[in-house]
Amino acid sequence: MKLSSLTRPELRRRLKEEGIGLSIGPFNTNLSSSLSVVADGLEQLYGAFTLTGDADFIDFRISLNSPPGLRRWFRPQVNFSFDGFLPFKPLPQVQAFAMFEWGLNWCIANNAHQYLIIHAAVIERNGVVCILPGTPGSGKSTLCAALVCKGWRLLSDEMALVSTETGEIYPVPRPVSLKNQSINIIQQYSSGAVMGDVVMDTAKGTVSHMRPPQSSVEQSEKPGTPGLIVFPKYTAGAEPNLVPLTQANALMKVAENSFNYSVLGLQGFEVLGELVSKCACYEFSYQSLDEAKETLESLI
Amino acid sequence: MGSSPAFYNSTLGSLHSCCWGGQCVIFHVESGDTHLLSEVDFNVLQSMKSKPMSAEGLSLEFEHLFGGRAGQYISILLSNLVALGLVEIVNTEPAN
Amino acid sequence: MPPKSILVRFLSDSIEEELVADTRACELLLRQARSANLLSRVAVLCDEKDLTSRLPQRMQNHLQSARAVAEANHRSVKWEAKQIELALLADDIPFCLLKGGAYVVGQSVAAKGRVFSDVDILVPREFLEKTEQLLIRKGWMCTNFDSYDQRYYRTWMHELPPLQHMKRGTTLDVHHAIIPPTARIKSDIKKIWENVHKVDNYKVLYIPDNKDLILHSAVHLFCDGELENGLRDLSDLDLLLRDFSANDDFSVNDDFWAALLARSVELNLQRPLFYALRYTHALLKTPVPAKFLTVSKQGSPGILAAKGMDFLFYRALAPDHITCTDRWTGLARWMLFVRSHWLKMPPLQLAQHLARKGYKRWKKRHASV
Repeated sequence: MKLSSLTRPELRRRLKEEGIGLSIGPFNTNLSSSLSVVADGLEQLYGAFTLTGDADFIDFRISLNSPPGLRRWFRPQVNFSFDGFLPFKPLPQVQAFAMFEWGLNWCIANNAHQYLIIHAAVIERNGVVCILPGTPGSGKSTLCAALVCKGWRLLSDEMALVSTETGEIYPVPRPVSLKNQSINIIQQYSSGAVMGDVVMDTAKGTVSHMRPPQSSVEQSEKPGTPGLIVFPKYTAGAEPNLVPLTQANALMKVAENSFNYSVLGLQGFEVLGELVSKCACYEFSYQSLDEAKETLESLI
Repeated sequence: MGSSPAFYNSTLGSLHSCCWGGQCVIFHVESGDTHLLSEVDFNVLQSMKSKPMSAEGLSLEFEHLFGGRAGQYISILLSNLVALGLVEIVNTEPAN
Repeated sequence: MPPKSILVRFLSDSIEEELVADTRACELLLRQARSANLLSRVAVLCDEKDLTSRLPQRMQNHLQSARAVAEANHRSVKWEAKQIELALLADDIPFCLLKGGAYVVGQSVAAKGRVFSDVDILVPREFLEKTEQLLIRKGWMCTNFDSYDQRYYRTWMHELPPLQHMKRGTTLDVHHAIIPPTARIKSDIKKIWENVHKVDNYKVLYIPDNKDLILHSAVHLFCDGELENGLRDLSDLDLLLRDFSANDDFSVNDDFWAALLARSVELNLQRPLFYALRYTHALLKTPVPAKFLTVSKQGSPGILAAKGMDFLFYRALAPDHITCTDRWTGLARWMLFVRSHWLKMPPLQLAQHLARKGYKRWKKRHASV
């Protein structure tokens, strides 16, 4: 049963009481909150996701609620709680849904070391998975959102989960996080892009999330075989420029962009070695999304 | 004591490597550090694994690659490798 | 005694079949173990009981992840020990690893799945300043510039303010005693140094004697007040006591117990040992022979006081999780926090210190990581 099958009052009731359990890629997540901004975000962006059953094993129990006391009413705040542990300071309540997204990223990055986790967007076309590692500012999320609007499968906008056993990439398709100008850029690029609420004045600027394509969500249990690693760099005025990277250089760069490379030690090194061995690796500067799409599609 | 030659030894725990076309990435298990080296530099490192070597000994062994400049190259390489913690200086004669 | 949590039952009993049959019980164990910083230990123990492959796949994934964390932790502390030795060798300063670091480098049973965030070492008091200089020369730096905190650590406590390595980011606590000089219990640290063991393949690294490892853990748990990891420390004690007290043929080694009790008298640590034996036996079913439990009561604060401490410790030693708390738990933790400071410093300093620090400490527990 999908989240979209719940009526609005039922969604809000469950969210407040027993919490809403969602199957998000490999992770069953139970979210509870009494805040309407969280309910809105779920309704807008998580409709295609499957609800967990009552007896299902839950991996992450998360709640987003106001701290007790005055901050419930005066400049209201929200706390992110991971089963009773508060990893972050409170944020303004209006950012509660964005906090859920950031917080869930944190939960996965810190608790899923059965994978090597690369900070990257991950997309797939014609059976080939393309990993787009990137530091903030590289434009990877914008590029990812654009390609996904034009038919590429979304595996993740934030983290590549590499199985330490098989080397396959496991999907965690979720709303794509977009910032500042990227929000308008994507809305103009594709009329089919569905955005959640826009939230201003966050630590990352103005933020919104794009709904993941239904077909990507429906393929959440289908891992993919990596074939391409591309380090994108959005550069204003740049002609599309694809520069091949040696495997050795690619390994060093991917390691720097991995959340848990140091946790996995030798196993992490071996997994990355295998990964770059079977991928074509590039650095890619671009300005135009259409040109970027054309270039990447020519590599598949 | 003062003027005995310095020998270099790279058996500082285990090193694992992946090499492609002239470049090697090595992983030092104990420290968790990862390094990018040229394949030549990696071969120099490997030659110190089974027994300590002196700078002169290494220059001789790799002379065919560097010609007259081997001594200078090896000297700089050794000090870089020591700084990276991949090689240690042992001030003793190797057993013959 | 409040009802035992599933985590405590896992550590003290055989509940394998219950976990295999009941997904919810399994998930509850995961949640409590995470909160108590014991998930990695649970992972190792599940492997030892041949239980892991019979658990739900999701649980296996979490255990695999937790195992990786502990292994990374252990590699890191071994490397740190080596780097610290390289720094202190300049002046041949002997140093002793304590707690988690000692378990891992000393390869003790309490290393199983043990995770910890800081490395703790002990150096002789006369080398404390020199140690700090040598460490700073090799890349460690002082993290705390608050003059009150500097005075707190250096003058009143038994350690330097925490040092952090500028490249590796690891934290190092340098102690010169295991109890603060201002504390009400007085124990002679020189006696610990007399019984340390040198670690193979190191030149100036030592580990305390087995009995002293137990007594230090007991002091840290029952007097230092850091109960966030209370159950983890209690589990360490349970593993150490079981291991050291068993002969090769699994019969009970009476000599060990007698020697442990005698050593507690010698070090003036009968009170913490009394609590250690009482609570490991009551909560984790550590097989302390009855006659030695009786002898350990010489360290008891008295029947009524002991009952009062039971009320506090049974709650404070439970996992810090919503499924393990009752309405007294918060109060119990707070009272033990105050008590630990009462034990560490004279009344006037205590009042000043609590006024400054008590609030900050609770805020810190829930601030960003």
